[in-house]
Amino acid sequence: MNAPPLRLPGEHFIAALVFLLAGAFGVYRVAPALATGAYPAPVVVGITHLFTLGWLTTSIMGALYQFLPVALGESIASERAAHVTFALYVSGVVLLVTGMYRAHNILLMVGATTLGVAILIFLVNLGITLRRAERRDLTWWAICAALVFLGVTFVLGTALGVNLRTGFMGGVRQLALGTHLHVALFGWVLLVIIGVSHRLLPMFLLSHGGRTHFASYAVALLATGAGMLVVFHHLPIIGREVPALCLAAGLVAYLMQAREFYRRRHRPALDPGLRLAAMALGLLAVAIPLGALAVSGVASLHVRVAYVMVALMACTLFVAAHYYKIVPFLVWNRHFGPLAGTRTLPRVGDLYSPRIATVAVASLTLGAVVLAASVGAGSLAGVRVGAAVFALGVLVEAVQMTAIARRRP
Amino acid sequence: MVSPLVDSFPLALQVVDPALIVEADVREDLRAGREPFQRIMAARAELPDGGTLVVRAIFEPAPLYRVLGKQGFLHHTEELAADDWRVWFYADVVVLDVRDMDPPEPLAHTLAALESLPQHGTLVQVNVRVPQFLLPRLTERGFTYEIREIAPDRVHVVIRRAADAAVTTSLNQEGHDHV
Repeated sequence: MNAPPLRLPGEHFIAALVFLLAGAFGVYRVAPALATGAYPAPVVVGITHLFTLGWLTTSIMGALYQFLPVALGESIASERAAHVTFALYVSGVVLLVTGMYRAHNILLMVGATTLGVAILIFLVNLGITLRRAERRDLTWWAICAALVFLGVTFVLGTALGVNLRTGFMGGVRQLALGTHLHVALFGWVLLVIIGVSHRLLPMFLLSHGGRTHFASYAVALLATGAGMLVVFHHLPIIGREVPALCLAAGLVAYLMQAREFYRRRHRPALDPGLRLAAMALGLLAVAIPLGALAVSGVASLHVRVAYVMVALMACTLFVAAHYYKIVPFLVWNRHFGPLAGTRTLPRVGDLYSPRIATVAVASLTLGAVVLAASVGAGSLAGVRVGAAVFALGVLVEAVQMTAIARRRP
Repeated sequence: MVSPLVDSFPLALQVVDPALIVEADVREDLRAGREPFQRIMAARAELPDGGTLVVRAIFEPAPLYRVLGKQGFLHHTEELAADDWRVWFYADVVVLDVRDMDPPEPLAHTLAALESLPQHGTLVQVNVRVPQFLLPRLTERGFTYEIREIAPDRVHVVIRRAADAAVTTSLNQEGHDHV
């Protein structure tokens, strides 16, 4: 195993946390637009991308650089390219989000181009790594499919950006937007989450010996649903209801897999990270009926925006939960691991205060729930309260992660 | 081939390599009134380093416990029927079951246990996955390891001091050369 030094995932995690902080405070700022359901407003689009590109994708990139060599026994093809990707990617996100937020076309174009180059290098780097890997299990397939959908998401996003200037999409803009959103969340983020958590959840939960086939169904269904959306999104039934059913079924299969892991855990008590992951999974379950309402066409604009918010918040919380597991582990392994066996060392759980982490978990969960419910109800006060509570949770987690990163023997 | 992978067996027996098991079924000899000791000792002589001897007899072969115990073997006895006994004679190794430990506790406990591993001793870590973060640390600290993926949720990592492993390899090589 040749996992990269802590610096590579570390720089991604720091940038991702900064993006999450900016996004959390940004939600408070755009509360009026969210409360009226004005999702196409540039400020809302900008803040949304702080979560999707800034928080989720940056975290995923950093985590994959660390995770893939361990999970697949294959080193990242080029660490140097990974650092270059990081620099381009972070610059791209900053420029793109600023361009979106301020509706500034030049920033938008420069940001999209920089981001495109970064994503391209990332895809090539990981593509080579995956091609070299001998172990081709569920994790391998899930990540391969996810990388394809990341590329598709970027192409669709770029097309939507160009449409802002040219309007070439005409009436199909909504379809393209819906496809972009679902491919991003279900095809990219969720497939990575399934592939990675298939290894990490049983490890962190001390859950072994359970059934694991639900995850295979989840990957197949989500990949099929997202793929159908990409190819047939302009057609009725085959481009709307059928992919929606596949995505919903894939989500259910994943939730069943996660439930199996949680049910079979050998230690009943859950630490803050695993409690937050469970909350995130619960939120993901709520997205299913909301999505059904959105597809059926009976949902109001507010409910449709709430559906997107629930799905986005579920992914956000799930990744935030794993920071409480991954960051202490990496710091311990880097700074305390070399001394293992030679003297008494703190346990990973001793690197942070579980009580303070519980405050973060409660704030993040409560904030996300209040936020989504208030968006659904169109309540400005509720959106503001939810956003404030959520931002508090993010702030506490960011402070704790910083403190963990500074821990030394 | 008999399998030592039975939950009720002692851990040190569960981790023996099935490929290193030599069986001596002396039930027919005993029923025919023949003395089985020479056959059992011949099987013992065939045992490779770290191997396990399985004796099958029509009564509990208690005298063997002392004889083989003096040679460093532990034993585990199964009464399969009133006239069918199976006894496992296996090497004494340190076994660390880390399956219910939070990462990176397995790494910390294993490295701590290795600090007190006797010369020529073997430590077997029982894990649910290959402990990727432990392996480079073992090499750094002068240990060699062998990974045995027993089942989807069971991995045995057999750890020895690099110096001991080199001696064993050399002796085995000499043995082969003599043959």
